[in-house]
Amino acid sequence: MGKRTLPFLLLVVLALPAQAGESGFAAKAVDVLARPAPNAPVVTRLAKQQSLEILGRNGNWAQVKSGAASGWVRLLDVRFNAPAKIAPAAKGKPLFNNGIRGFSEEDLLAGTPNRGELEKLSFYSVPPKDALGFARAAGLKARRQDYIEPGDYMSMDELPEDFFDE
Amino acid sequence: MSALRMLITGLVVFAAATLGACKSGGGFSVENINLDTVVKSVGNLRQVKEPEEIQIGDGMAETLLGASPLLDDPELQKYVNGIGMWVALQSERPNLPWHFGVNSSDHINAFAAPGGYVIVTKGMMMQLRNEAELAGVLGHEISHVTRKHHLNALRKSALVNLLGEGVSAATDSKHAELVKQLAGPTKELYARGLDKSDEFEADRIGVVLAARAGYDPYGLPAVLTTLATADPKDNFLSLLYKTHPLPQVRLDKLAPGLGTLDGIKAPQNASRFQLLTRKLRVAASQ
Repeated sequence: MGKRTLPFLLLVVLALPAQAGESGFAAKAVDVLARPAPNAPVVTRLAKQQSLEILGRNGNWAQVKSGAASGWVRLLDVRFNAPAKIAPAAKGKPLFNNGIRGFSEEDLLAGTPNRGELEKLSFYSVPPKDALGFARAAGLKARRQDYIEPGDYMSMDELPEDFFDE
Repeated sequence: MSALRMLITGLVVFAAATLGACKSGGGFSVENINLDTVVKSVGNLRQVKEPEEIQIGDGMAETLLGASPLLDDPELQKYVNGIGMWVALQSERPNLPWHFGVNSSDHINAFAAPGGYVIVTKGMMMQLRNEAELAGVLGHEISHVTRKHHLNALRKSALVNLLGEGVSAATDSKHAELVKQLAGPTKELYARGLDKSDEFEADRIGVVLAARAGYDPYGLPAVLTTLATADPKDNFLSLLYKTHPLPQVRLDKLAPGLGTLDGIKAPQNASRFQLLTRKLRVAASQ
């Protein structure tokens, strides 16, 4: 195995868990489509909260598998289970009792300004021309994109309580 | 009554009112209006110049770093700065002195301060899967800076004297005094959070900045779909949940605008991200 092959293999192995086999569930009752396109045939329908496996992503579409069926749903209709477990031992217990380092409201209020850390932060900064090289190395291409307008959609949480009373 | 006579009467009434106000002494009160307050608030509404904004951000970042120091991982810090600067270059303020850092906190959160400071917690880094998601989170924070959300929140709050008099921190002692004066309002602001509308705006701009930088624009929405599954009572999310609208509400607000980004096929760069963050996961599993 050449010197170049090992880092490459390492990259591939490390990349896999991030893309495949993640678990999650349907955010709402949703059709699973044969292709990542709104007009594609419906393969099956998932119930709200139905658990699924996320096989991959394609822009705003997620490829999912639930039971024997697999297909595509809109990314926003899927909820991913968090990739890193939030240290379960610390749940519900006071912080700092098991080496956990926090940024809770208490930590924020108790902290004192740290000039040394700010200087360290400056040391790590990257000049714009290096950032351009950094982007080029990763195959990133800048694109033109207009800002998006605020939606007029109102979340169910925001509706007044008596909205459906009429 | 002729127009001239009306004018003169008006002037006399005005002069009398003004004299009366002066005579009443202390506070320049004209009935219920306290002119001191008015003068002060007008002073606060003046535009803060960019060098002042950077000095203020400097002091605020010192306070944020006082709560949790930077993670000792130079390779990761440089990586996050590379992505952050590249995303910031897509904004209206590419020439700010942008600084990005990962702190040592296991909590899940990210912060911005005026003048170009962005800090992401280690806990947040561990929730991300790829560079597109990181770019989305950084884009959200960058837009807090470009839209001056924190600066405007400070102008509305107790920090009025400092901004009104102009900030000068040419000497170390002046800088120390500035940091000291800023510490209280900074802590208060970051514990309270910004207006919800600022957070929704930062989400909308964040996805666009990531898209302009050539990333899959669905990085930030993907992060929100992950955060939406977390237990809201979790200690590690307490400050994020206190200071931000719930992830589900943010997704609902963001969703209608995402249609224009649907056709974009752009990289997520999972492999580079996983490689650079592997130390975090190894340390967490030990």
